[in-house]
Amino acid sequence: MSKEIYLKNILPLRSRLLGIARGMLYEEQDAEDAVQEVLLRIWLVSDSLGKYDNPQAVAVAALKNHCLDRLKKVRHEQAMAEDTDIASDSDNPYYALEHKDTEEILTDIIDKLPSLQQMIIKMKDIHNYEVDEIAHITGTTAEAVRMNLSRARRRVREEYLKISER
Amino acid sequence: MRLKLKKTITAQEADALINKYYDGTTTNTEEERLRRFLRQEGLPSKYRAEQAIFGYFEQQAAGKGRAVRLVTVCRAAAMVAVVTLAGAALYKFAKPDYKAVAYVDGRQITDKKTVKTLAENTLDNVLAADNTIEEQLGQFAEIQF
Amino acid sequence: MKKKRKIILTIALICSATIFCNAQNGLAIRDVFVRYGRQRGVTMVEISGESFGGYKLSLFKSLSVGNNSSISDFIRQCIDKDRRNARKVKEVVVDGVVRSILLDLPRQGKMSRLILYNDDSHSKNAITLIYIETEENGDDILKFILKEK
Repeated sequence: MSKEIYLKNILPLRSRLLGIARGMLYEEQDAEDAVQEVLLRIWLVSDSLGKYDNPQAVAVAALKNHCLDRLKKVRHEQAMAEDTDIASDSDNPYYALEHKDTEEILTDIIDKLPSLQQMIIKMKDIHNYEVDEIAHITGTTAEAVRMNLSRARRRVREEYLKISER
Repeated sequence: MRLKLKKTITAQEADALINKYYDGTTTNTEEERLRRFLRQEGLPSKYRAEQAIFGYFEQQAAGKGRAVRLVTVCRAAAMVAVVTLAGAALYKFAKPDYKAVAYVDGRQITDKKTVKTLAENTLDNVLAADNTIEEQLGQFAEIQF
Repeated sequence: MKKKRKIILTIALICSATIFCNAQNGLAIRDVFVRYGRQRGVTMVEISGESFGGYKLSLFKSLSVGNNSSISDFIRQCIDKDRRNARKVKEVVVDGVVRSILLDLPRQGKMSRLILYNDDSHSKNAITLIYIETEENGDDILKFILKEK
């Protein structure tokens, strides 16, 4: 029932959501990524949608919230880049790395992927969605999903080899 | 009853699937074949990244650190080791049912007795010295769920 | 007003970093162990398949630390997310301050899952978070733990 609500009420909102995202983020690709990511997230909680008279309003509000978070993140990353002190969980980042096992290393790497790539790689490699399913949920093409998936997977491998060869 | 062993793919087939995997074009079935290949012992080190990555995702899918269910005819192949080589950690699929590890100030402790003592101390901490809390929690224990 | 709050919570859920955890019945407190488990001043324990007082625990995971408001705030945020799905919740409040929280979470298959949180500013290890998975009866485990002292 809840997936039906998603397909009937939320997915058709796609172009409206894209318009809102463009207005907030300006860059076309950022807007497209934001919409795909929010649609995937709404899909994952679509069990909760049934209780609302107006699930579309929830979707629009979530998209706006997500865009604001993205903007905040960009500003924060710019500020961090200017900082000479790098904040870290441990006083000595090499000490921290020595004691990390593979699970932690890979969790870190995946958590640092761009958020849409993160969503897609998790949905595919952990939750076993097929590429076509993800494309259907996000209203994009299988090719677009494959491209993000490929980038994410290559990045994970690259970063893993870099860290494990230290 | 004769056991039918599923043949794993060859290294050549695995290499082709790995390329497809990084292109994002493998199906779930092809990935399962690849997974079965990567679970094998004694594979060349060129596969270590894929072993780590596939093992990680399989562990996540199984529920964060609990023993991964392996459908394998040969029990010996289900051995688990986290092997540290020159600072790099190789991850092989599945974990044993028993695990005991503690970190104190970031320092790892694997001595089973010490870890268990730390766990018991932690349980003790949950009940504060304060009698009020002990009373209240004690009442809670008697409430029927 | 109640409806508005529900909507806000749903939006927060959609935008949260633990979206997969919530959707998949995973837990927000997992982030506590990942983020703080290996820090200085923190003791983290993980034991699986061990027995305590005759009860076999499939998983026992704990984190203890002295007074640290950023860690305790983060733990409380995670518990607030996980308590939404809890079957039963018990809070112990002393002088208006929440001192302990117990969550009995929905079973996953045969597995009972419990979260215990304690904040005792008088103790050296002021903040304690415990997560337990067990195939034993969750109520029995709780009674054992609470009488354990």
